[in-house]
Amino acid sequence: MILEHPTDDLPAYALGILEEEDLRAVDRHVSGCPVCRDEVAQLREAAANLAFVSPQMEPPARLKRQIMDRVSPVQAPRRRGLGQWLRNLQPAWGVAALAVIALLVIGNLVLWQQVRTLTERTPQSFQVASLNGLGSLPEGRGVMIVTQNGRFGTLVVDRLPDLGADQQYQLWLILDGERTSGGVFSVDRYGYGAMVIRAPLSLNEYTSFGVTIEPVGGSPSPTGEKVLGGEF
Amino acid sequence: MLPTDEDLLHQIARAQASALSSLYDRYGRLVYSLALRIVGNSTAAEEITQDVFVQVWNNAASYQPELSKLTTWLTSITRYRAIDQLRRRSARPDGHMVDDPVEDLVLTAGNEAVPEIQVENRAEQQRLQQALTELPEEQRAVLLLAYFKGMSQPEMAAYLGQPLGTIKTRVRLGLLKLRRMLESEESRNP
Repeated sequence: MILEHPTDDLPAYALGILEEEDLRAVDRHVSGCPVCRDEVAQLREAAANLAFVSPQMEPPARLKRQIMDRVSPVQAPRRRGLGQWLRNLQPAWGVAALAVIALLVIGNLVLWQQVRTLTERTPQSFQVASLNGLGSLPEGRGVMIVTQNGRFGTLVVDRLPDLGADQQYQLWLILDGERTSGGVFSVDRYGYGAMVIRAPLSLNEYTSFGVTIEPVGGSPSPTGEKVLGGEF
Repeated sequence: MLPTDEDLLHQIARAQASALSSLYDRYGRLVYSLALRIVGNSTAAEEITQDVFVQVWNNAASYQPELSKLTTWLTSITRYRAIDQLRRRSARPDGHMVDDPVEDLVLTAGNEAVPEIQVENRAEQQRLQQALTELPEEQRAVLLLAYFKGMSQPEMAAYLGQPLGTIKTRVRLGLLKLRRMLESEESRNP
């Protein structure tokens, strides 16, 4: 570590333009010197202002869509528990309403009947689609609850086996035979699981839905056994 | 009331895509413009912008607001990626790139997407432009070459035909003075 503060080099260091040898030496010093670290942070803040010199150009409209596509659950798989899922719901009223409904569903003994009752009570606010067990898991049950405008949706499943650490369930949204991931989820030891659905289009656009068993984190397209299926 | 930058990052860390969408509305233009300014190619600038926001999506939890402003974090990621790409490309940049970045201080305005934020960005631009015009020209030149071209000090010395020691002094004095002016401006208009 440089014993004296490399004060003269800190501006160039903050701008990221030091040559390799100087960079290594200053790096070593700064990592162990809170005074210089603070100075570098301030210089970086000042240098960052230069970004505003750029003429402000309007990005093409498609760019935002491409970004949002890239952060869909398949690209950014994160395994979440029920607690995480519920915390995710807080800011959006539409999603919060869904959470209330989902909790009602969970709290009742017969998931299927409860959702049907709920649907009858609020036919104008939500759409409900059922998913039935298929293949080796005929006992499986699922329900999708979607806001009228199709912007928000949640999936609740029951009676599915816990797949362990290496596999997860993945929801597929189907339109004209094309399958788009709606997210990946796991179930607890009682076979229950829930997930907020993420989709590039309004959920009203899709005509049918399926759930397959995939490697943890999900797959770009279905590869495993289809265990649930249903349609609006 | 609009959520703060910190609120949005907090929500993004919880994988709320709507928060990333809002963050893009707020800063997509800044990121894209900076990338475009550095690489001079709209296709490359779009790719960089995508990468920056995906990086934000993946690393929002690591952002520490007490260490830097969000714009500093965003522009640092953008600049790093853009300069890295610039260095890897052998061809000269095209499109919007201006050969002499020192001359390219044209500021444009006007965006209806998120008016409050854009007004803030525009005020930031005016504040910076004012500070830059008060810098001696030779100091302003090296700061812009360093920031937008990622030129090292020896490269700037060769490019400007000046001794290395002179360039180092200009970089040091220029950035210190810029910081002082911006701080003093901030204290006048907190």
